[in-house]
Amino acid sequence: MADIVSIHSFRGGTGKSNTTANIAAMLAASGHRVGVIDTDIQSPGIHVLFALDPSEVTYSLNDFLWERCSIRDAAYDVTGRLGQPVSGEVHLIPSSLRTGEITRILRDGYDVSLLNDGLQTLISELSLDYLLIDTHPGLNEETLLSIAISDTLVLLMRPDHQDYQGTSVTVEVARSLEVPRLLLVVNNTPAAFDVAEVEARVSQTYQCEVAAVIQHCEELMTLASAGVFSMRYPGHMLTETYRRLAARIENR
Amino acid sequence: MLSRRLQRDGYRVVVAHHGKQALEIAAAKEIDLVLLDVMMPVMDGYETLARFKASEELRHIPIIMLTSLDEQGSLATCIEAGAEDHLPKPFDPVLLRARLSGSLERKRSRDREREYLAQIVAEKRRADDLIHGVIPIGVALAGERNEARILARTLIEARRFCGADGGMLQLLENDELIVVQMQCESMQQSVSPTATRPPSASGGVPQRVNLKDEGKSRRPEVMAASQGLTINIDVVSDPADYDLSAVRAFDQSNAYRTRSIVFVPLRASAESDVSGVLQLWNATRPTDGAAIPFTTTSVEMLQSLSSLAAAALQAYRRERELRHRIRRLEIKIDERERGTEVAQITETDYFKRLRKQARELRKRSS
Repeated sequence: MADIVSIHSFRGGTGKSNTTANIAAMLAASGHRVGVIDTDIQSPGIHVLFALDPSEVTYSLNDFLWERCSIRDAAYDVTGRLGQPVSGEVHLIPSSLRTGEITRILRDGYDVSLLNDGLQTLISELSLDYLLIDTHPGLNEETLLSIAISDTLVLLMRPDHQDYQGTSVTVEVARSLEVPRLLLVVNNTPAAFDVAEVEARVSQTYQCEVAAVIQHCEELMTLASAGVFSMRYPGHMLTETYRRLAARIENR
Repeated sequence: MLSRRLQRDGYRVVVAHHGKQALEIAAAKEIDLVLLDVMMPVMDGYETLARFKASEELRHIPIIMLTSLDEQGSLATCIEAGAEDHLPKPFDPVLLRARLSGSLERKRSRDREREYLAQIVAEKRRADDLIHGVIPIGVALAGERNEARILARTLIEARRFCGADGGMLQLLENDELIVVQMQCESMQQSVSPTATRPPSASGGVPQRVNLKDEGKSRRPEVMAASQGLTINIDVVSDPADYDLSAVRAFDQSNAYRTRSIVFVPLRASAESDVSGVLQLWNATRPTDGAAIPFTTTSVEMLQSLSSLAAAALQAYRRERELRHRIRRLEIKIDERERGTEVAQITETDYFKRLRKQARELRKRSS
């Protein structure tokens, strides 16, 4: 049975898509079959990291939710686009980039239970070991659903006062939903901060396991989502951090 | 007779019987003008004139030669040698008064010129000292990333500036002046306080002085710290205004002799609080190492250096505190607000249904 892992954050801009893509790549590098679904329908973006051009996308998640296609139709094998050979696989289910479709789905809404059913079907049909859900930031019906069905919730935050309060609410909500495993990741941490102290302080504040403290990385910023960082820079310190994060997710 | 006439005209007169005596008197007293006879025993007028003009201290005194008829021929020589004017004998009273008042007026003008020039030279020296001395030190201190080096360097540069044999830096903490640096060239001593080597180990120097201690209120370092005063003391004259018992104790303990001492408060600006006191003792002349008082110019430079040092220390400590606060990563959660927000989400029907569905899903998959 596949593990469903939601990568979520209270605020936008915390680095969810990059973190999701790198976790997926590291899990695939360990030989796993990984699905990545972009449920950030309002502002989809993870397809860029996997070099999937919108012109190549015939069916998206939006089409599945409008029952125009099966979930399998909306899945694209992006393993070959990682830039490095891996022993596993990565399949991406993108959201539509077409403005009209985004507007429509936001206006009309969709059946969230359909999303849940679709995810289960996807896991089965692609024989996935992991399904990573790249969520929209904040707490709404879709994100609550993603959290509710997850075996592991990876909650991203930055060491920023704007993130602290909302992250604490999300942690409590996740606990109310009885998510089996809750992992905090502190992203984009300034070099002036002591990593061990950040981990200890965040862990103590939220009474929650901290899976990684990721330091601010100029090379990641410079790459600017033009690819999956860990595949482009396999020997980088940041890649090692992603590798260890993926390993924490694997070790149940 | 001439002497009596001059006294009647209101002048103060000192009589020398020969040139050598004239030189001695002029060196010892303040003389505005010399009436110099040519024919004198021991040293004649010509040689006396030459000696006056050769002396750095005496050359500015105007000299009027008293000449007889047969000495008129050498008058040009005297004028060329620097005589201001001449008076032929026998003296005409009107001419005497005119020549005297004219010479004295010219002397007063020259004196004023010399004063102005000295002021300009002093100002230029001060500007040069600031530009080439104090400001580069200030820039270097601002770049220091180590508090101990800021303190040590401040004291080294301050001493070098005025050739002080020794000095001490005290910082103010909780109304106590604490010795943080002490250096003394002639004692070959340089002390920074450590756990194993407190400054008091150097003999007679108390490590801490409480500003609130009434018994120490007249100590110059206490006055400098509490009132922001710069205090320059000629210790030899033993001024009654200050309590120099600590200085005496230091001298006795170390077989030392403090002759001059200056206390400068460390303050980044006139509006800032005093953060410490810079103390220097026994200024020396750079040319020959002779002990001299701390001059007004050097004290002004020390004040500039002290304010730059205080600013550098203040900036360093502010940055250190900021880095410390950043590294502490203060996370503040409003628990009450959190409770409210969580309740707003979890007490909806949708959430309750979702939780129930999630439980069923997990039960099925396990």
